[in-house]
Amino acid sequence: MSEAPLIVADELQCLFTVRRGPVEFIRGKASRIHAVDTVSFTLERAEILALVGESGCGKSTVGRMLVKMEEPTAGALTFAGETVNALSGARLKEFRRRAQMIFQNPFEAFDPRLTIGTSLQQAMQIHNIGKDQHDRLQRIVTVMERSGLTPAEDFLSRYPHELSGGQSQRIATVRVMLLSPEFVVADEPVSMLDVSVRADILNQLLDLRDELDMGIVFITHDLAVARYIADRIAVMYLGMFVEVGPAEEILANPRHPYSQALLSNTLPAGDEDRITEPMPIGGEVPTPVDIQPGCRFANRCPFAFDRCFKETPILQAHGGKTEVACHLLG
Amino acid sequence: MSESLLELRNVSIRYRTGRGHVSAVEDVSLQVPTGASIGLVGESGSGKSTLALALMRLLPQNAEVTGEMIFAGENLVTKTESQLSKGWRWRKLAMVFQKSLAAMSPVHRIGQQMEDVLTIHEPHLTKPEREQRLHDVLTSVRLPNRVLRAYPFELSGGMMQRSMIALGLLCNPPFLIFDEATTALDVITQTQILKEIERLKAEYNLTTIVISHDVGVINAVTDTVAVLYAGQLMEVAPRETFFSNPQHPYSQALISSVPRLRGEKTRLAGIPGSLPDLTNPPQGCRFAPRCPHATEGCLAVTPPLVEVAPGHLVRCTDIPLREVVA
Ligand SMILES: Nc1ncnc2c1ncn2[C@@H]1O[C@H](COP(=O)(O)OP(=O)(O)OP(=O)(O)O)[C@@H](O)[C@H]1O
Ligand SMILES: Nc1ncnc2c1ncn2[C@@H]1O[C@H](COP(=O)(O)OP(=O)(O)O)[C@@H](O)[C@H]1O
Ligand code: SF4
Ligand code: SF4
Ligand SMILES: [Mg+2]
Ligand SMILES: [Mg+2]
Repeated sequence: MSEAPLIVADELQCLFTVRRGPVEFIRGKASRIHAVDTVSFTLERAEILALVGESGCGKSTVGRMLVKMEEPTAGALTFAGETVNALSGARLKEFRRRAQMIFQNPFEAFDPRLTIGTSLQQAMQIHNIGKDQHDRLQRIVTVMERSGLTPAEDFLSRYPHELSGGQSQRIATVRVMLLSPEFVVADEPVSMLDVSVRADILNQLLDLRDELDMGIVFITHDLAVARYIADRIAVMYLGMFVEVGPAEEILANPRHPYSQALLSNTLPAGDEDRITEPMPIGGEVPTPVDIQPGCRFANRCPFAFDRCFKETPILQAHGGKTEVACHLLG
Repeated sequence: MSESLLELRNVSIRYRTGRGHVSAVEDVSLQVPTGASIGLVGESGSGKSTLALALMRLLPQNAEVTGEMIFAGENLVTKTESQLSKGWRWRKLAMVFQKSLAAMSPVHRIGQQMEDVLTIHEPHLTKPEREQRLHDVLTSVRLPNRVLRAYPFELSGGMMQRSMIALGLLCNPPFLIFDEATTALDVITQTQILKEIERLKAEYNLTTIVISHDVGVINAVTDTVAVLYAGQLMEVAPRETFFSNPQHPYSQALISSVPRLRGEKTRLAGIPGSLPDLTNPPQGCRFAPRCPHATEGCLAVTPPLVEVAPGHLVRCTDIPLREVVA
């Protein structure tokens, strides 16, 4: 029997009820925001899946559900064959070590009142890693120096506010390594960093995957970054996956109009030409309140036709490994 | 070639701190012709915002500027605050800030804040004239008039960024600095804003300095690229040359740190090490501690900025050597 996949997300849904927001104010009733609506996918060990899409499309919410920082409104999540929804007690604590999250804003990751050394030691202690204080310190120093944070002692006595963005993000990655998780969600971990630091962090994550067989869900709005790090890409729009498949396949031949818009609007980073003329799509991601049937991209899609406003397209394969949710493909 | 609207002559900027003097910008000389668009790139902490704030004369109290910044024939460095606030800042030079949310008051409506700027800088305008101006500038960045009644937190990132550009354009300045104006926006909004910038440049013959660590942005909207490292200009090159044939080892490292959408996928090289401590910068070439081509000679003297081709300046002693090799 083959090993269970690392992650199985089965129709995950996350609705937020807006109590006193502007929407309720206008409509005079409570509204529901469909932050994530029936997202399903499988992630194997040592696999990296990139979630891409505009801000507000639900990427972070998916990420938070995967590490149980947010409870799904509906749907099931399985981690290494075990149902996550009902975990509690020791099993939950074990899950909290095995599944980690790296944040966009590295400053959020550490308690501002503790030195970096204390924070890292505490994290290890909570999960019973290392024999004693001395052993833990030893491991911290080794991992930090391997990550280019030298001399490590220099950083251990610092407080989070005494670090640059790049240094904090490197240390957040160090913490992940110390806990040796099997699964990591990295939520835009490099979008605020310099290109040089960004390259280092991406390489660090790739090395972790190779050394620990770690599975990673990597959230980004940069398709070139997604291509560099991921095996597969899932393009999200308004809470749904609209296209999922091997990274190279999606970049070479994006089939969903929204994927096409994203790719054609990505600026070339060198002397190469643009892939195609940027596809103009108007407006911004609307807030997914009180969703009606039909394609959620229809009001911005240049190819929308009658059916798109009536019937919600379902994610399906049309030959090849990529799945697309669009009526244009039949 | 048209005349320079702005010329920096040996500009150095230091911050006095408890740990000593931070040498944030060191001996920068640069010509900015009328209508040009200069891209300023370099790692975080390399002095880009410091230079921009110096031009706006908005540096904090602990900063010291030496050298000359000649703008339309006048030296900005020696202008008094009262001269600057009457008819210079926002009228002749304006800036779109890196932290756009921080630049606007969260408790006042956007329209009110814009009107205040106009009242201060163009007191001769009547109320209807002010309203007309607000309407015009919003139209030029494609924002609906309702934005005027909104508070900053009610706008999306893209709309907020457009509002900031509108604020920059409010007094029709001939010169505008964009400091990371599209960083952290998604690609679709970014493309829209960059298109606006291009259009405004063509329409008003704007001269711009665009600061970004996103080389894609630099590639899209500039004609000349200036590379700043640890406060020193390392390379100034026409945009095409910068991307196709960068000469300085730091420029080469920057470009090869960026993942690409196409082509072979190879491991990104990155740039090992980090910026030097600017309270005690290394002798000689400031990039030497991280440079793969460094020799002892590089540590001895600061290499001069040499013109290797028309409009292409490089600060590196190793350049002739590598040309012979190539
Ligand atoms: N008010 C200040 N007091 C002391 N040092 C400062 C001050 N402001 C900036 N610096 C220092 O000056 C150097 C240049 O900073 P600057 O903000 O200009 O960098 P930057 O290139 O704009 O970076 P980023 O890409 O992060 O915006 C850094 O070493 C920074 O720590
Ligand atoms: N706690 C919350 N309450 C209400 N709405 C939320 C909450 N968290 C997220 N949302 C909404 O859900 C949608 C998706 O948000 P998010 O997952 O943060 O997107 P992304 O990470 O792609 O920027 C957005 O419309 C956002 O405003
Ligand atoms: S289903 Fe229709 S509206 Fe949706 S992406 Fe396809 S063509 Fe566009
Ligand atoms: S001068 Fe020397 S250290 Fe500096 S960039 Fe050139 S080769 Fe490298
Ligand atoms: Mg997010
Ligand atoms: Mg800056």
